[in-house]
Amino acid sequence: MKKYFLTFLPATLALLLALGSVSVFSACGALPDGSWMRCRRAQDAVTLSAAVLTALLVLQGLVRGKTVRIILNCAAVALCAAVFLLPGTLLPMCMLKTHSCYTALQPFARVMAVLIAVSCVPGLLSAAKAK
Amino acid sequence: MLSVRKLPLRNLRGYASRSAAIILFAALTSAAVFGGLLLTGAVRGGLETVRARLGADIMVTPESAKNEFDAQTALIKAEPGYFYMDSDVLEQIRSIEGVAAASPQLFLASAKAGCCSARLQLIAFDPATDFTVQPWIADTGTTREMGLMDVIIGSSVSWPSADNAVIRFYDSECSVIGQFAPTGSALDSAVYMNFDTCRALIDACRSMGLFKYADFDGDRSVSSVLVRVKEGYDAESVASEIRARIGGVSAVTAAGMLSGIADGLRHVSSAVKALMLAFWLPGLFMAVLFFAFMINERKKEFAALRAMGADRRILSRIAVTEALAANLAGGLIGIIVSGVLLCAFGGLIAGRMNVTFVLPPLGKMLLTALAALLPAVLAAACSSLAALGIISRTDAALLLKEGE
Repeated sequence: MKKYFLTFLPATLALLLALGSVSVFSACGALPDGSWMRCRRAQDAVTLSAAVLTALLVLQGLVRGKTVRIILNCAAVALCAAVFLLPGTLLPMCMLKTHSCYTALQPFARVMAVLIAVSCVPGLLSAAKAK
Repeated sequence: MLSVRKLPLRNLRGYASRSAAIILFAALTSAAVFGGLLLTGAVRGGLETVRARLGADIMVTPESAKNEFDAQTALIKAEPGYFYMDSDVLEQIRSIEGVAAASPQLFLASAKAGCCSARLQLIAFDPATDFTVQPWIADTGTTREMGLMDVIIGSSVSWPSADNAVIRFYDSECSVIGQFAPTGSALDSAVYMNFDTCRALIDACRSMGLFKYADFDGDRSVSSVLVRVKEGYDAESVASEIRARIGGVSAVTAAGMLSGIADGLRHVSSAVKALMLAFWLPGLFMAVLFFAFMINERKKEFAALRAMGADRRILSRIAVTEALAANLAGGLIGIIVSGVLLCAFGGLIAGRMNVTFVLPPLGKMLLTALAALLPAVLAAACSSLAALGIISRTDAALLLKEGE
């Protein structure tokens, strides 16, 4: 039970990131003319990255090969770093820091990216120790 | 080799689910206490920063601006707006007894930015008479004097081209020469400039057909007058005098403007107190109860230790160390989790609660964290007392005989 929990915790967190970024912690809404604000691209990028992260982390829980598991975990940690930097650093957001892209999406993406990266460490260590 | 020093931690690991429950309750208690203290401190910090930044005792605005300017909410969730009155008001205010200084301001609201729905409040001040904005410019680190088309932005404004520090309003480029420190209020979403820059932007706005006042005369108009009251005079009395002597104006005191934030602080404080009580007392009770259960279940283990030569002092030390370790670990986890959440989502919480929010400096936060650990220490002390009571009532010989 504990083993399964630790194996699939990162994937669950990544799924939460994907779902949270399009619901409770989404970026700003649409403008009255129907167009999206600039921060929408950051939200889309975070959601897409989170979906890829989920797939990577589910896969690392299923495969048995030591090298593949190490590669998948390393890729996940690198993607977490990208998710951390996407809103506001790699992709521009709105003009006011009181907007929800700054108050909700950015902190949520950053907190979750750190949590996912940290939760990948046990998997990475166990893969490295595996014979 | 097993030693008395290692025993408490091994015991906690051995009774993993009970230890986890104790850690969870200690974490909830400390999270509630730390989160509550930090939230109240941040809202109070916002109020104090805004009070300091406001700098004036009275703000005079045109009475006709009532729909656009609500003094009580202006500092929390102001919708950018602009309104004007004749600049003669300035001299009339200066002539009123009790007025030490009066300085005009000119307002304009930016059009929606191309990137988003952001509209900024543009505020022009008169460098010759200003006593509210200029004292804070030094804190922005700028040494450049504010010239034509130079602006200083509030902390919430993120200007689009950070490389060349230029921000555009009504197709006119303004140079960003500094950024104010956060106040957690609507002041953070404003852009400050001198009168000439504001008049140039009003002209640009007018040429784009977006300006709503057809008969606006830039040289004879002001939006507000900020008043400093002479020492010994009551701000409310001077404001009443302004309202009585000058027709068509509204005068609101700083206390009136800050009342919205003060109300928010009162609401937050009472909610936090209720939350802290709701978590702290049951959390303390449950942590002690679980620990007492755990010790009670291990009576035979303690009896065996006695039989092996451990005296009551050693058994007490084991119990106290276990209680301290579990409660302090829980306390630290609670503090870290609530600290991270409040630091990350402070803006979101402040926005939802309509309060100002400025996190205290790191030193003060660490002191608050230490204070928030006290409930965990208290839980550890109560748990230890309960454990010592159980151990002292335990007859080792009788218990060991029962097991034979």
